[in-house]
Amino acid sequence: MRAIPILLRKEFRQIFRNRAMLPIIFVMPIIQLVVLAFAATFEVKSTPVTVVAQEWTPEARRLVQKLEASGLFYVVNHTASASMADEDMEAGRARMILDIPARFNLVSGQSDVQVILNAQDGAAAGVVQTYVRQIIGELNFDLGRRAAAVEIRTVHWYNPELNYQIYMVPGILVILVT
Amino acid sequence: MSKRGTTFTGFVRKEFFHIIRDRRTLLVLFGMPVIMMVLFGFVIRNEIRGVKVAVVDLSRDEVTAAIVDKLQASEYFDVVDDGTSDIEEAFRTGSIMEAIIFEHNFASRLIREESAGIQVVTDASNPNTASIVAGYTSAIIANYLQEQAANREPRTEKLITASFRMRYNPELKSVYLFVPGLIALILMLVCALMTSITITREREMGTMEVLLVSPLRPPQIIIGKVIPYLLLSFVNVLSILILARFVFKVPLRGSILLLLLECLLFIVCALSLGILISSRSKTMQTATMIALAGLLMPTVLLSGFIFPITSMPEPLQMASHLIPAKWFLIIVRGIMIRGVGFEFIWKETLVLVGMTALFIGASVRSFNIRLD
Repeated sequence: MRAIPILLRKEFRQIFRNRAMLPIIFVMPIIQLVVLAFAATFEVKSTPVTVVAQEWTPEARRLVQKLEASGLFYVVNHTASASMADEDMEAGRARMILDIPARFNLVSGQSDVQVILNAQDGAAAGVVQTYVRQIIGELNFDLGRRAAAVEIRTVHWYNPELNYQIYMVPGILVILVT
Repeated sequence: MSKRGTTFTGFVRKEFFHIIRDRRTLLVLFGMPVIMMVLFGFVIRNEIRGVKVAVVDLSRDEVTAAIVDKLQASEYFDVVDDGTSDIEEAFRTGSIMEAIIFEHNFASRLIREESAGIQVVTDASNPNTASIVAGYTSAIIANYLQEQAANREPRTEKLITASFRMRYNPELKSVYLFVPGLIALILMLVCALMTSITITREREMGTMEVLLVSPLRPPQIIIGKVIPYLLLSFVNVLSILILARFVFKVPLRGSILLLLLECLLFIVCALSLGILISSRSKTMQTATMIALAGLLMPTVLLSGFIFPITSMPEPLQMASHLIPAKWFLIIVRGIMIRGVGFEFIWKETLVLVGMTALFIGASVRSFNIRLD
């Protein structure tokens, strides 16, 4: 029993004697915590988009403006050719292709746009899809259209601002302690 | 046959025997990749499927019943309880992820063109899934209502709509993202960890003297140590790719030859990094710690393996450029999932080649031909 504090001192001395290991033992967990806290997020920040449009109608312009204004999308390329857009996506320059048909307007022409998403990251693609739907819903509202008389109110419990850190930090703590 | 040639081949054969004799290490070398693949492929999933939803229906009419049916029919949702009164408790215990509340007189309000309300409550502990789940719910409800409206009266007003196509991964399977990353991680793990102790072990065992007095020059020693691990890692790559293709159904849309060549490049890169660590570490313990903490941790966190690099703050994005696995991941994901050819990945390949040259050069320089 009495040997335990002596053993403890010896162990401590041995640890501190090893110069190379010291930074690893003390500095590494701190670095990991910091890096993990900032790196570990699945938040989809800004999606690069290539717009394919044969014709620039005012509705088309509004749609693109609204997408960019949301801060969640930024246009990397405008083109009239779908194959150029495909190349952008293959090269990784764009993660989304917005294909606006000719005569895109709400009165007589086409009112359906095609959105092609790079779904390598399936979860991120789902999130981007939700964003696009929301923005289009807002655009419809701006243009004076209402889909139906139903009002859907969404409330997020436990994390109303959808803050990623709240989700990640408890998990990170567990991993680091292990 | 020149004396040098025989010495070198003899050295390589000796290294081979060393590896094969160590049964436990062999188990780790070949068994770990399989275990990791199974773990990540089957256990860790990011997909939205069968989300538990509770419905609180204060109306109980045909419209609400129809909407609930539509939700139940979708593969994304699983309506758990019809008529729970205490949703707070259900959320707290984690038995539901979403609750939908219909207000009173829903159908009659709709018919009278008054506004009818639906309250959607989500468990936003995981913000991303919460947004997606809420988004899907609204989309399904909106779709249903649009259909109903279209059936009742001729469409006078048009709406802007969007049709979505999920390219490369229509079912949004999470393995498409993880498996290429796993290839990088496993290769990095095995190669760097194994080689990081090989030179240090010689020092600790005292057999370094024998190596140093042999006619072998430092570059030959290093290359001789790399070759057996190269071959073993290549076998690993093949088994991982076969698992990925046939068990997890991850497609291989590009050229297999190109993929294997790039894997070879990455293996050499990882091995040379391991050798660099090994030639600079005094003890095996230090070497292993550096390999784990200084190589593996950053690779898992910053290479884009699980956490997308585009989601990270700027300084971390720049730091990720230093990690070889990050470039390799771009290459592998490009070839496997997008099916691109070399013209799209030559830049990343060049970076890997440069890094490899750097590591090998540094190893040769710091390999001391005197016993230190």
